[in-house]
Amino acid sequence: MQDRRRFLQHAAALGAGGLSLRGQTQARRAMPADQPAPTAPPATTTGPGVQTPDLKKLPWTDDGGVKVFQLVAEPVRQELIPGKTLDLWGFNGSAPGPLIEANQGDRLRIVFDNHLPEPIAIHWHGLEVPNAMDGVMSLTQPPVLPGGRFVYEFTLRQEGTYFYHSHMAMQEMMGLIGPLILHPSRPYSTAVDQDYVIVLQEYAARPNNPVPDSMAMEFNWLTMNGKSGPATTPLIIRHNQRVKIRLINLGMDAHPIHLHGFQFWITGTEGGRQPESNWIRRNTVLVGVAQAFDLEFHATHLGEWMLHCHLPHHMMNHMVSPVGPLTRGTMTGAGRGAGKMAGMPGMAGAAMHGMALPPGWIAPNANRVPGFPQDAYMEGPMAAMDAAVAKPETYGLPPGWSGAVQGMMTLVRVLEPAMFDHIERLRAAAGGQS
Amino acid sequence: MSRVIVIAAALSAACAGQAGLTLAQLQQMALARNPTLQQAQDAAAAAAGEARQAGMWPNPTVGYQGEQIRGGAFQGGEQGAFVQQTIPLGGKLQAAQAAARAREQGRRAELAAQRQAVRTAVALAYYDALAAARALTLRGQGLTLAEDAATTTAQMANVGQADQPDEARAAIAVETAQAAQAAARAAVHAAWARLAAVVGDPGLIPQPLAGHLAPGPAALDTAGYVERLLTQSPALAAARSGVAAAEAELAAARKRPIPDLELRGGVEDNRELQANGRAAGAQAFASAGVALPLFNRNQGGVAAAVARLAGARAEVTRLRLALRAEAAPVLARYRAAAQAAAAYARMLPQAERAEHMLDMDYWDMTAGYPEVLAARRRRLALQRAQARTLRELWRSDATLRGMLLTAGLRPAEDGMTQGMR
Ligand SMILES: [Cu+2]
Repeated sequence: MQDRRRFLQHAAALGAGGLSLRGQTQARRAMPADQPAPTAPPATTTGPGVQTPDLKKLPWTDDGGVKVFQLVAEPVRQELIPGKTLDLWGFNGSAPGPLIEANQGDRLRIVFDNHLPEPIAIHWHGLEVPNAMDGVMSLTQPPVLPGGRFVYEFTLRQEGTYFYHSHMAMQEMMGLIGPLILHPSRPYSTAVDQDYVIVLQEYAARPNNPVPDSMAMEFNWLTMNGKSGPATTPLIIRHNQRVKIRLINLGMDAHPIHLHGFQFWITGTEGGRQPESNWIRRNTVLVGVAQAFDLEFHATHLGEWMLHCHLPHHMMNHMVSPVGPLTRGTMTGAGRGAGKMAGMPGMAGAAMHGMALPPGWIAPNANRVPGFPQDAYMEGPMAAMDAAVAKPETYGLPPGWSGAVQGMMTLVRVLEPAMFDHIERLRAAAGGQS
Repeated sequence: MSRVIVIAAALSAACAGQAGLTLAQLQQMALARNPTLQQAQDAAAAAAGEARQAGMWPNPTVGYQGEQIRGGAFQGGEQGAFVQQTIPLGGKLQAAQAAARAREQGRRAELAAQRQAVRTAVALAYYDALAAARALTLRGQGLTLAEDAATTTAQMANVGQADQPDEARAAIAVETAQAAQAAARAAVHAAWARLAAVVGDPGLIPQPLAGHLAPGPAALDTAGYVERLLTQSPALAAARSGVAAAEAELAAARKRPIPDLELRGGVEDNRELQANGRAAGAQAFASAGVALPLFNRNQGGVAAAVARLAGARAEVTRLRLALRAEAAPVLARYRAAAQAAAAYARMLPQAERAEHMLDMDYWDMTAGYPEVLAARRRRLALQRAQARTLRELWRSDATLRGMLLTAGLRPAEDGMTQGMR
């Protein structure tokens, strides 16, 4: 039975070209235990089909059967949300770095160049590689000096969700991490239609300084693939697709990532695919530091569902107390966005709408009620920036939606086929993945 | 009290750059009204009168003269009229007049110096008033800030971000700011009273002053200042004219022993009978004489004049030293204030930029309002310090340009020198 199933999965993969499976509408593989058995050949994730919202994939060239990647560590300017760009250290132009995607059994050669002003070594987190390739400076290899190069080469024995990062602690906090996903040589027993990876990071940045403090213990900017809500690109799911979301965390905090609307199975960890008997059903997974989790679920419920860290302070950007003239109940025409952000592209409209709260939003006696204000000014209309973050993936969201999406937060949009197809066409017209 | 408020409003308006009394206008008013100038003018006029008087000739004497008058049959006697005139010789009159004219010159030099002193005194009072108005404006902003901080602290307490001691501290800050504002208001009142007095019109209605403390006066050449002072000082000019007067006095004293020519002449009727039995009849008489400078050669007067001349020369020497001594600390204050003012001119834009940035951040909700208040507090403190520095700079500048003459309400006669003592 098991052999036949794998055969069928493989056949389906070949039929689909082994490429991106987004948009396919095959019947779904069953969930374990409480779900009915499959009635049709499952899809496969053997091929390079991982989607990386807001992130690029690192291209490779073939050198006699060796996949050769050119990886560069360098200073980057990363826009977290419109109007907030940080000076980070990343790989090949972004922090986190681009996805390295390969297959179990591949031989990889990573030609690594250091364009940073200090030494570095790259560690392949969780990979069983020869000790000399492990990337620990002064222990397994000499430091890669500024302007220097080091060639890593090893054969991949594992499959699953991994990552690469600088093995220098402060450099990690400057952004030097990237996802590394290894597809199994033989397809997993459950196939998914969509496969996403999201890297969780955090930065402490002062309002007028683009350089984050890597030594901070408290963080005011929380990112998913280098973006903070509402600039995170929503995951666009067709109703009833099976979805995998791979979460990777490298920061100072563990993030309890919660999915609205669904129970998911934890099907893998940073140690790789777990046997089905070990799968755990949850709606919140605490992604510890240097850990990875693979979540899988059936998108059976239509709607705009949130996926976010549930640490209350990680559900907003640049958290700061709003007390002052803004919340004294005398301000009607000004508000958030009346400052520097007013001049930002896409912000003008919001600023012109006053950014003020709608009538009735605040009770007349609010300032006499102990505890006021809490969220009234920090979330909602005054935080909204719909126009500034508009893209195909946000099409059809209700006005003001962006005021509700902040910090380590994104949306899982489970859509009717017509809406799904429309957004797909918008994305294609816009040049593919946003 | 209402007058104080009027003053405060008037001077605040001046600070806001509205049209108002200019320094030049106030100086013109003072030159017309300041009583020390009238005193100095009177002293010069008195000296001029003395000079005129010193050139006057002695009046002639006319009279009756009779001699050998006998009665009875003799009918003797000579009776007639005479004219007598003392003729000053040796240029004594001219010398005395020259001495008096030299004294008059001295008085006029003192008047010029006092005019300078009045102008400077008005400038000092004007800058004091400007600085006081600026300080009041800033203290007003400080009170607004303290009240804003108290409101913010109450808001913070409402969300658990401040405690009751914080609220007490904020209330104390408001009281402190109120007291500082009251003191600044009193200082404005005092400054205006001084200004009105030196202008010579104590009833002068408080009104806006034109002008600003910032950016400060045009740079002064401090390196060559003392040399310029020693050639241009009106006080020194007055002292030098004192030497000239003493020299003229000495010259006059030396001429004093030269005797006057005493001329006397007349006609008389001599009734004495001659041999022919007729009376002698009309006859003339005349006398001329000079006093011999045997005992009084005006030795004492000359000695006194010599001593006064030496004293006048010593006064010039003393004044030159006094000017050097007085200039040194004023130059030091000026240089320090100029340096500090330049530093504030660099610092303040930075403080304002920081405040603006945090203010914008607050409205973007990326910075807390207490940070805005702290930035505003730092900026206000900097502006207060800048106002104090600019006051010092303007005052030392005016003192230096005024050749150190600042006593606008001290009697002119000894003003020049007393100021230097
Ligand atoms: Cu979190």
